[in-house]
Amino acid sequence: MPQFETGRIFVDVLDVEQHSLDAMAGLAFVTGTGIAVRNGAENLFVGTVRNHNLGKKVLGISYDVFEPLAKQSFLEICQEAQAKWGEELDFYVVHAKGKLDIGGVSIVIAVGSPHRDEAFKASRYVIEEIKHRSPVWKLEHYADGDSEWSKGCELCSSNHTHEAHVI
Amino acid sequence: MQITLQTFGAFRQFGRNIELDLNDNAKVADLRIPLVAALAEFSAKFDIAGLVESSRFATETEILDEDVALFDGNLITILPPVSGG
Repeated sequence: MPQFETGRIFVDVLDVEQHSLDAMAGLAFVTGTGIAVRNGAENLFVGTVRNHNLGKKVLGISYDVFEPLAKQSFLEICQEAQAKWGEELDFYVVHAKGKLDIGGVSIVIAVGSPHRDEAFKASRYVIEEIKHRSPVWKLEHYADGDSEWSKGCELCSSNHTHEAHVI
Repeated sequence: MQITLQTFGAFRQFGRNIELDLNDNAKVADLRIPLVAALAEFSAKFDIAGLVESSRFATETEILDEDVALFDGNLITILPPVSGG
């Protein structure tokens, strides 16, 4: 049996006024090139801004991010996914910061794996954990001129007595 | 002691930073009551107490447990409920 190589992890937060998120860059990162291609399955998840939420017409979303802790949480989540589904899995996670219009890309998650089952499961794990744990907030801008912060998920601390997730 | 709270999310509308005076030997949990008091002027329009209660406190590297000791001059970040992705 050949020994596997520990997977690579890339995480970042991009200011969308300066850079657009590039899903193909994520796919390329986890695919590799030439004889370096060792994955047989690449899963790409792209989050985009939709034009409605909870019955209100949405024009755009501003993302606020506590960058150092967010990037650390992305890294920890990817490492957890490696521990669950294989140390050889590759991960690319980039989240947007700033204001996006409808259709704007808010997050790109790419996972590369030797096999498809692990790629699907790890990708789902990463997006769900980011939604529940990473310090990112969205301010929705509505067609009626109003703006509102999403209710979100309450973060856990080890000795706080409240419910872990409140939607 | 003096603590500076860096704000994110729903707290942004109350300023980028909020300065709090706390007693010596204060812990993370002790930030909540003076924070609610500091934002009292907004309580008619916002559920300040509920927002503060549902929030956590952090440094750049970790979310802090409630019983962690604070020190004069600390920069602490307040994390309201998150909504990334």
